[in-house]
Amino acid sequence: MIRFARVPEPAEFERQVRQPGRAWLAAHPEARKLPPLWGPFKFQLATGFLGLCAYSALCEPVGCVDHYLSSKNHRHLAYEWSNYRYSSEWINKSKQTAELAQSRPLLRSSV
Amino acid sequence: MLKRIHLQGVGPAPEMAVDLAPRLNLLTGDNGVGKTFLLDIAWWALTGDWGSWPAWPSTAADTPRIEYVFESSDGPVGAGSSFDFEEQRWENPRIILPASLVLYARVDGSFSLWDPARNGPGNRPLVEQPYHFSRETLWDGLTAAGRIRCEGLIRDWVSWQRQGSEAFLQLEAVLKSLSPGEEEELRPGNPTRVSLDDVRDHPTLQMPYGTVPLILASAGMKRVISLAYLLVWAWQEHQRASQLLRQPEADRIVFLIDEVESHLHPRWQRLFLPALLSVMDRLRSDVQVQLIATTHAPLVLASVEPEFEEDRDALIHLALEGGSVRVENQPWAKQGDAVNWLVSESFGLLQARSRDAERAIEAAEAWMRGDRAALPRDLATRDAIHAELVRLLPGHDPFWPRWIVATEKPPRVARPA
Repeated sequence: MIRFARVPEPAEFERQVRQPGRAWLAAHPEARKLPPLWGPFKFQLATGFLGLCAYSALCEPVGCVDHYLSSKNHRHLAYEWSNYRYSSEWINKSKQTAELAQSRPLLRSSV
Repeated sequence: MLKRIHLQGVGPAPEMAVDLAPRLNLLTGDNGVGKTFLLDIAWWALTGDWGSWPAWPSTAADTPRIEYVFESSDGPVGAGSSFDFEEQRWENPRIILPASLVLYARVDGSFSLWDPARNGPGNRPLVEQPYHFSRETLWDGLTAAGRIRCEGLIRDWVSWQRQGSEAFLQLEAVLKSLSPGEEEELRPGNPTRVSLDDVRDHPTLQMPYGTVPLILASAGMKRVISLAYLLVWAWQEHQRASQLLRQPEADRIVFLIDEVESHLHPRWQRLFLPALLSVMDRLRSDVQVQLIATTHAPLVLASVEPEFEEDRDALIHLALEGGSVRVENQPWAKQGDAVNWLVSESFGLLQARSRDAERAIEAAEAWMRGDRAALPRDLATRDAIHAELVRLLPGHDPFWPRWIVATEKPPRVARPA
C-alpha cells in the first residue's frame, strides 16, 4: 500500500465544477447521465496521485476521474472534490457501484 | 474419412492439395480464399452429390480434375473425376463410396445429410438423393415426390418427448453438452401452441426467465439445436435403415461445418467444438468422428487447445499469395488465448487492435529503435507519438511500460516539496 495525501482542492474547482454542478443537479433531478464538469481537473488530480492509479497504485498514463462513492447512488457527491480518485479507466468501469457491496461501511467512513 | 483432396484447374489456385487429419480439421483463411469451396468438394467426394452447384472449372485449365483419397474399412481408396466440357459436368467418379454418415452444416443455416444406408448407390432407388434441409424444412419436415422424408424438428421433438423415447434422452444429453454453462443449461420444457393458425404443439426450452418456444429462440441457439436434432435423428434413422437392410451400421461420421461460430456469442463459440466431440463420444463411442470446420473466430481455436493432438488433428491455413491460394498445414502451437490467436499465422493480424492504435504503436516502436525514417509525418516527435498513444491506448495496456521506460519521460509527477 502507498499512502496518498489528500489532494488539495484546486482554487477554480468551486466556480467551475461545484456550483454549476449543483445547479445542474437541482434542475435535472431525474437525469441519469451527468455532465462531466470534472474533466478539466483530471490532470491536477493525477498530479496529486503522483500519476498512480488510486486503486492499483500502478503508473497510469491515461486514467480518469473516479467517483469513490458512485454518482449513481450519491448524486450529491458527484461534484465534490473530496470524492474524486485518480483511477485506471478499466478499474473505474469494473468498480461501478461497489460501495453497495459488503465493504460499504468501510468505504463510507474513509471519504 | 477423407484423407486428401487434390484439385487441378478448379478453385482458387491452378493446383491445390489438402491433407486432412483423421479427427479434427480446422480451416482458417481470409474471406474468399476458398474455405467453403473446399467443404463443398469434401461433401461431393464423400457423397457424389454437388448440392446446389457443381464446382466450376477454370476456363484456362486443359484438364480440370478432382482427386481424393478416403479411408474405408478396407484401407485407403483413391478416386478422381475430370470435367467433361462437352457434357458440361464432372464425370461420375463413383466406384465406391465411404460408408460414413456425412453431415454438412452450411453458413446460411441449411444442412445436408448423407446416410450410407439410405442414400448409397445400390440401395433403395427411391431415396438415392441425399437429404437437403433448408432452415425451414429441417424444422417443418421434408417431403420429396409425395413421400415424407423427415418429420422435422417440431413434430419429432414433441412426439419423442411424449413417448419418452431413447431419441429424446439422447436429444436431452446433446442439448446439455451444448449448453454454455450451468446456469444456462438447455433443457426441454413442456410443448405449447404458438399460434391459432398452427395446430402443432411446439417444443420449448426452459430459460431462466420462463419457457420459450424453440421457434422464438435466437439464431445461434437455433443453429445449435438444429445440429443436435439432426445428429440424433440421423443416427436413429440410420440404425433403423441398417436393421431393415440387414447391414452393419456405419462406423464413421464426418461433419462438415462452415463457420463454426456463426451467430454464436463468444461463450458458445468457446464451447461448441469440444461439446460436439464429447457428444459424439457419448452417443456412440465406437464411431470414428472426422470434423472438417472453417472458422474466423480466434476463440474457436483457443477452445480446442485442450483437445488438439497433432497426430490426429490438423490446422489448415489458406493464404493468398501472388494471386493464387496456397494451402498450408500449420504446425500446432498453443496460443493461450484468443488475442494471441488473432496475431498468430492463422489470422495474421499484426496486433489485435484498432488500425489507429496499431499505427501509433508501430510509430512508437520505430521511435524506440531510432528508425526516424519509418515515422509517419504526423507522428514524427516523441510528444506527438505520446499524445496519440494516450488517445488510443488504455492506461493498463502492456505496451506502456516499454514506451515509458524507453523514452525516459514517465508521466509521473514529482512529489510536491
